[in-house]
Amino acid sequence: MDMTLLKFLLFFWLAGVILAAFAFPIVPSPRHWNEFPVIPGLEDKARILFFHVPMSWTAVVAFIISMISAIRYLVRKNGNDDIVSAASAGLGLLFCVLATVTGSLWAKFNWGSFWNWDPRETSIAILLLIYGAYFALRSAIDGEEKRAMLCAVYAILAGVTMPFFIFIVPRIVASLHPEPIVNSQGKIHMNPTMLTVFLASLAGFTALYFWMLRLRIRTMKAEILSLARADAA
Amino acid sequence: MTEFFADHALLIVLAGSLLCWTGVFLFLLRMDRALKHIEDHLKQG
Repeated sequence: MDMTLLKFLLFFWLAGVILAAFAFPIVPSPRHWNEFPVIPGLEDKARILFFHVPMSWTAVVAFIISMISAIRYLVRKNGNDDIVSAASAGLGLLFCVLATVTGSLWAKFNWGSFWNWDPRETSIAILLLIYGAYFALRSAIDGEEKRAMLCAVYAILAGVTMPFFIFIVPRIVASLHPEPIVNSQGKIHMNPTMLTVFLASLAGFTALYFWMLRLRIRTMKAEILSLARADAA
Repeated sequence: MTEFFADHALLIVLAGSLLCWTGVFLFLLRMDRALKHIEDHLKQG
């Protein structure tokens, strides 16, 4: 299938998600396919779920891919794996920041303050610092191979801590944060219309991440190639 | 004025989100095309 067609399909897909997320009415007892139920205590603020959770999910996917590429680099010593690892960590950080911003906006309207040092907020702040340090490390080392090697080790360590901060801490410490989508019994309790829009958003954001990852990898490769050309000239 | 924003909050957020997404999409599309051009140029060189 033509890639341009897929990109436009993604555009309309996510535009549809945005339309559904904000245009579908919230009613006490939904009777039609295009109605969301009232979630007590959340009401209209529940709409952020269609963006905040997929952004967090995409950040998790990006950090996992960064870790896998780092492991591959240590095994094969192929520079391409280092590029994929760095590109994915950057995108993970971007989506993590977006998830934090959307979460803060929601917190302002629900808890009255943008930042409350809730366990969820604290754990995501630590995760942001961990991946921020990854880029500080990356820019502090000159030698290409040494940088790739140290960053691969760091990306693996960061990747190992990530599930702890995203999935474990918020579940073992009392938090004001609403129950996760997949609850402690491993079940999803969601109205079918909400679930459809939510899953469509999840798929859309994941596809957007892979497109952005491909672009970032190509940009980094072009940078390396043009620098090598400039050095040779 | 405040009343207007309160009455049309969802519509404003919807329009703003659609506008942002269109901007991001067009930026990525242009970047994709520019990269293709740079890659072709590097291949020739």
